[in-house]
Amino acid sequence: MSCSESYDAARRPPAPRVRAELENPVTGRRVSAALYLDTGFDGTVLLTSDLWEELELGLVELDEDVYALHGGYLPVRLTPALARVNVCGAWSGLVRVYLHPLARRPLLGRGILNELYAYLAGPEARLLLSRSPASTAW
Amino acid sequence: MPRKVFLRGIDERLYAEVKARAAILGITVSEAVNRALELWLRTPASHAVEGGGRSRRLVEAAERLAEGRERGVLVVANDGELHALFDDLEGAVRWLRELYLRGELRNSLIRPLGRRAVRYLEVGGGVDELLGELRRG
Repeated sequence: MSCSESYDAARRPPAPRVRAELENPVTGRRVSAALYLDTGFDGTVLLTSDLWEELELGLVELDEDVYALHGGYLPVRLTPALARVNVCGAWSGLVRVYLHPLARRPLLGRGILNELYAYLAGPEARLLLSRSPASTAW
Repeated sequence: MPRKVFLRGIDERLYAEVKARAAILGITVSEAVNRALELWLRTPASHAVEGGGRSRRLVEAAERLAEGRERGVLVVANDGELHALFDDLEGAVRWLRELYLRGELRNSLIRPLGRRAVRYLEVGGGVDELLGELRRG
């Protein structure tokens, strides 16, 4: 499976993002969100408060101590929970996702990106994601 | 118009930490307090009270039930009235979903058992935005 998505051209410079389906595994509530690719993020998915509330992830919270480190410092406490994530049909699974109280944009980190092949066609402002190298016709 | 407010009962250790953090960011303590208050107001109500969707009773029950257990996943639900142990997270989710579908789930907390460790996740993007947010004013 592979998918191709346009960069967010409203950002300067434009930023690669991908549509993902997020699901609360207990209530079944689903939300579609555009996740920005962040290869500098160690985790899977970082969520904003709005998305967290919409998904009612308070019902699937994990009792774990997790902090975000920004640029190697400035620790911010995160709230972990479980969610089913489907990244544009190319990857899906039940994973830990994190609420960041200050985040304004949801991020997709290496926790998932490292399972995918990603091609950044910067000049065309397009991102291509695939589960296998064979299915990448780029 | 900025307003002067005198507060009693501020935790001394907390205040010292705020002061140090503010100095690192190059902002005043007042600015830091304003940002913290803004943040608190923007935090979902469920998280502003008990530190998450969890209730104090849930956390206490999880603490008590996890004691001496080293393997598996403990799930506590409904302020500690219900609990169960599973081999993995999938099992925990299935149990919670059954409760939810029966209309019997009010709140829950999932606790992977074993040695408790603090994890740090580096966030590459967003540092400028975050500092900008804190320095705004």
